Amino acid sequence: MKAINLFAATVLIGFCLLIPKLVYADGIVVDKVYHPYVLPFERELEWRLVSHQTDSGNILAQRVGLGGAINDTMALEGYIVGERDDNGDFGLQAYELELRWQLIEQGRLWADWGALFEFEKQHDADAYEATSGFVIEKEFGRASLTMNAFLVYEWGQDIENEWESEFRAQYRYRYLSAFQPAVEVYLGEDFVGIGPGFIGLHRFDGQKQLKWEAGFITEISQSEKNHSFRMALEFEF
Amino acid sequence: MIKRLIRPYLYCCVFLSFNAASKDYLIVLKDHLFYPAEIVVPANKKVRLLIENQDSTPEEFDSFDLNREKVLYPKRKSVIYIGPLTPGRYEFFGEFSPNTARGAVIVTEKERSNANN
Amino acid sequence: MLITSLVMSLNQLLPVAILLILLQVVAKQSLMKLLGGLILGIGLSFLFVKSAPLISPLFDYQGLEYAQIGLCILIFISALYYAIKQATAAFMIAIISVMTLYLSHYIIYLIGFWQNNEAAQSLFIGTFLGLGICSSFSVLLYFLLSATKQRFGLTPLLVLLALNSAAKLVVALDLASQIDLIATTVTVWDLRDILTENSEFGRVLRALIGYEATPNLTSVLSYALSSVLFLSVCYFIPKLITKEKS
Repeated sequence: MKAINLFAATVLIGFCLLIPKLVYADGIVVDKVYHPYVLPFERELEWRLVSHQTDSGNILAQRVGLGGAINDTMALEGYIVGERDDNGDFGLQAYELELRWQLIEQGRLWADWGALFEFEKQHDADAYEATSGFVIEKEFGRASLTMNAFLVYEWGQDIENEWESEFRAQYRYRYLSAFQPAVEVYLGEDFVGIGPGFIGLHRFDGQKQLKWEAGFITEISQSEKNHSFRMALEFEF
Repeated sequence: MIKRLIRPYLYCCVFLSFNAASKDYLIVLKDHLFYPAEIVVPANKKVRLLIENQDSTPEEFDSFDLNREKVLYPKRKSVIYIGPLTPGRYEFFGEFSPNTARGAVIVTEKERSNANN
Repeated sequence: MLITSLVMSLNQLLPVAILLILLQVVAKQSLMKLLGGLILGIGLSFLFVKSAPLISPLFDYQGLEYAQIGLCILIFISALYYAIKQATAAFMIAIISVMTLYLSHYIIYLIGFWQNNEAAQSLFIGTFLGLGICSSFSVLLYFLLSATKQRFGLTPLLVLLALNSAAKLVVALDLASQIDLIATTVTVWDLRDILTENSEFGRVLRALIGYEATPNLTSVLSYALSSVLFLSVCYFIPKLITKEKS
């Protein structure tokens, strides 16, 4: 049984790592790295910010989301996404629905597995995007390695129909619960980013907790300036 | 022993300096923008940049290409020596306002009069 | 404003963090001494910024550059002394000097833009986040260098420290040519197509070992000579001491 699990895991990870080599994602690849855990009865309010800076300008994207667990292993969250482009106009850009599914109980196998499904529709345009993929996390003593591999399909009248893929990884050291330094890697179309960051959390009474994370990612496959800063705040209640 | 090595090293550097006459080039910083954004200087000559900060906030003149970094205090003129430079484009920016305060020093072989002396 | 202050704080904190981590891994100092050094460093940086109007008019309006050149040389000497003797005083001097040299730029920025109330909030958040990201980077670098020390001994660390200190002398040389104290020579090579200093990786490499895409001959020679000098002194002086003792 254990050998089959190991084999399946190796095949899946290999598949996840291969996807970015077959197809790539354009746009902003830097976003949060998902963890494969869902708490029953959890409800959360989330705010995320990504600032992408190149020599030609700066794109700022913010999203606010509200969601909760719909059963013991799945959580559904809805977001509205706003973006400020190079011209300085900030406006509503898209709506998003996200389903996080914890596939295996934490600690049962050699790694924790989850799946993610997303559906996004642009506000002013006939453009849709669907994402599906795997989320894996493994502990190594006081460090944790988290990997996300996603397959994305974009379609609609206003954009090209295409397949894309993304890979994200986060290696963090659980130094203190409030400050866990991490290094993150993002792979996508013409984008190989790496950078430091940190995540932290603070528990209040009961199930209430506040999580924060920030990361500064540098693009290394091209020689010009290209960096992204991301920040996320999540309040679970 | 280390101090004994450092001092003669420094003296050598100082003795190597010479004060050849250099032309003055004026750049004005106003509303977090450099005027002129591009300045043309002759090649292989020492050049004196005179930068006037007309804003009420400080700015930092920063250039990786020229290896120069200096804080420009508000309502003050600052002097930066550059060169001799080979022909090419050398960019600079204001570190406190990197998206707006940008410019470049263009070094050409031909003698063009951008000098203000 | 938030992103600018974040990037700026990161750029000014990076050289400080790198020197701090390098010295810590070469020989560990206690947490109290480390904190003491950091507090003194911040204090002296503020003092330096406040006394800038007094220092600046000295030496024919080149006072600040002279002060900065002095700090660079001080960092080189104290880092070298620390590499040989591991004296706490050398550690403190190196940390305080590097903080005064780099953080003063950021403090000028903070003070200059603090008056605007709207900006103050973004400045605070940006600084805080920059500190967080830099701390994260420092912790990761610390573990990487500690692992290197365990596996390969002290030599790679001393090489890094030598290059880092030599880079400070090149900064001093650039400042000296900025005020026409020494003659500059022409650019030796142009690596801007391969890696610009303006990219994040370029900046990290610059803060770590003084990478320059367009260096001049004086800088290259100075860098090579100072790092060789640093390493030679690190190698020969301990041998001389053990020879004297025996």
